[in-house]
Amino acid sequence: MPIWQDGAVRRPGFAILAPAGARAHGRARATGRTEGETAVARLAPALHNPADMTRRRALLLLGLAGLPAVVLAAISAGAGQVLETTNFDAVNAVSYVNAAQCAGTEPVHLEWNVQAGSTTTGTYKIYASNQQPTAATGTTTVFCAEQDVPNATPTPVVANQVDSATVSSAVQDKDVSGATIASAVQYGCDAANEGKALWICSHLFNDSGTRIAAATGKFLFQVTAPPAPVGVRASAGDSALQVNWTAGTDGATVDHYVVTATPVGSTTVAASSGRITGTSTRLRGLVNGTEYTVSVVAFSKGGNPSAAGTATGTPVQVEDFWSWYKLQGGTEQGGCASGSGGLAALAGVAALLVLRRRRK
Amino acid sequence: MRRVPLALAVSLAALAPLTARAQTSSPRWGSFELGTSSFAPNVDSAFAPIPGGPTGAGPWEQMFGIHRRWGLRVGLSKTVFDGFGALDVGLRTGYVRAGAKGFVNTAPDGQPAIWVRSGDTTYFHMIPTSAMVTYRFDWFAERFNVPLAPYGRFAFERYNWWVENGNGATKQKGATNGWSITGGVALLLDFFDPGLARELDAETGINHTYLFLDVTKTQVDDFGASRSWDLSERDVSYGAGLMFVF
Repeated sequence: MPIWQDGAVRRPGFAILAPAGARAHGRARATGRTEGETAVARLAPALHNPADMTRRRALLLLGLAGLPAVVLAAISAGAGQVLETTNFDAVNAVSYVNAAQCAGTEPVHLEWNVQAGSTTTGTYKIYASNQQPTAATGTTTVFCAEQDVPNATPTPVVANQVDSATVSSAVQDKDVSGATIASAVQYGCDAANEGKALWICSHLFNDSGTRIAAATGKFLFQVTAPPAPVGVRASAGDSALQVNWTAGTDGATVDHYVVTATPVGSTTVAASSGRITGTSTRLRGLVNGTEYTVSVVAFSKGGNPSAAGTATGTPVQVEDFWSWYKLQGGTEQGGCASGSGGLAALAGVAALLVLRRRRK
Repeated sequence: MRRVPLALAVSLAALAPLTARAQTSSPRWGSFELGTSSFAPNVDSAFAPIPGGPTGAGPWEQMFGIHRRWGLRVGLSKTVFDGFGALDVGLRTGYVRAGAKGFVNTAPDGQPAIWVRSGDTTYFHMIPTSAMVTYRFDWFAERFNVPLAPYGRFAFERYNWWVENGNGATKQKGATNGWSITGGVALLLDFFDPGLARELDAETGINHTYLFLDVTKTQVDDFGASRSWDLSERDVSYGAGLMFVF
C-alpha cells in the first residue's frame, strides 16, 4: 500500500484528494473572511447586551470556523495564477513537476484563476512552454506564445497546448498529464533536465474564439530523488516507537520526511508521522509486544520520494511514575482528597483581608 | 559554619550609622518576590524497597533519585501592618518538575521481574501555591539602616500536580493540601548603594530591595488523609531570591 508524501495512506481505488479539500476551503475564503471581519465589527458594540449573546456566540463560532479557510487560502491560485496544488512552494511562488508526473504515472493537479470580467462561458486552453510568457500587444496580460502544434520542433518550443477546460467559475482545476507537459516543452525525465523552468498558461477564449484573458505559473522540473535516510533506529516506547535517523547525502534537497510503522508480516500501515522536517519522531498508537517495521522516506520539494530507510522495533509497556507508584501499592487516588480544606484556608485568608479593610 | 551569617550580620550592623534614617520614601503597598526553592518530597515514607527492584527507598527515589529539584516561585503580598516590623498577607505560586526514564520489565513471562530503564521519559510536574502570612522584622532596617531583616512565615499550601507518561499524555493529576512554616533572613541591598536605592524608589516606587534566604518545613499530605501521598519535604526546603518592597 503506497505511502504518499503527505503521509496519507491511500487504499487502491480510493483517492484522498487533500488539495481538493483545500481548494474547496480556498474558494470559500472570500466569503469566510468577510464574515469574520463582520463578526468582529459586530462584537464590539454588543459586548454589554445580553440579548445579543446567542448571536455573538454564533458569529464567533462562524469566525473561528472560517479561520482555517483563510489560512488554507494561501495555497489557492490567486488572480492570474496557475499552480500545482500538491507541490506548490508558496514562499518562492513556484510549482514542481516531479518524476512520477513526468513519467505519466501521476497527474499534475493544476489550478488556475483567470480574471475575465463578466465572462462565464467559453473555453480554457492550457499551454506549456519553456519560455517565459510575455505581454500581448496593447495589454498588460501575459500569455504563453501559442504554437498550437503538439510536439512541435524545432526547439525552442514556444508553447504547446496540453489540455483544455470549459469555463464554469472563477477558480478552475484540472488534472493534466505530466508526460504531455514534458513532451510539450521537450524535457526528458532525467537528471539532465533537473531544475529547468517551464511555464504553464491557461488562456481563456470566449464563445467567439477570441483570447480574452490568461493565467500563468512558473514550474520547475524536479525529477531526481533525495538521498535515503541512514542509521534509522526505532527505540521501544509505551505503545509507541521513538524513531531517529540521519539525513543521507548526495541527491536532491530533502524537503520533508514521512515515517510509517507497519506490523511485520503485514502490509497495513499502523501509524504515520505525516510531514516532518526534523530527523526524529514518535509514532504513537501502536500495540505493545508487536514487532513493527519502521520506514523513513525523504521527499524533495517536488514530491520525489527517496528509497526507504528501515528498522524494526517492538513497543513495550513502560511504567511511568504514576504506574510505578501504584504498582508498589501507593494509595494516592488523584484528584483532591481535601479540596474543601484548601479552599477553606484560602477563604480564611480572604476573610482576614476583608476584616482588615473594614477596620481601616 | 553556622556562625558565619551571624558574624556577617554583626559586622554589617557595626558598619551602619546608629542614627535614625532621615530618608523619605514612597508609600508602601506590599512586596513582590521572585526566587527559587528546593523540592524533595517525602512520597517514599510509606514504602519499603521492593526485592530485586531498583535501588531506592520507594517509588520516588527509584524513579527520580534522591537529589533535590529546584523550582521557580513568584509571590505578591499586601502589607496589612507597618509599624514595629511589617505584616504581609499574600499569595505565592511557582513550578517545579522532576523527570526520569521509566521502567520496563525485561524478564520472560512467569519469571521474576527484571526492571531496566526505558527510552521513555516520565515527568512529575507541580505548581505549588501558597496563601501566606509573613512577619518581617525590618524595624532596625528602617530606623537604623541595619541591613538584615529576619522574617517568619506561615502558609497554607496547595500543590497541584500531574504525572506525564512517555507519550506526553497526562497519566494522573490532582492536588494535595497542607501547611508550612518558614524562617529566613532578608539582606537589605539598599545598604550597599543608598543613592541608587533612593533613585529606584523615586522612579519606580520600589522602597527596598532584599536578597532573602530561608528554610521551610512543610506538611503537605492532605492533612493526613489516607488516600493522599505525602508531598512534604523529606527534611526542609531551601529558598532564595529577591524581594521588592513597594
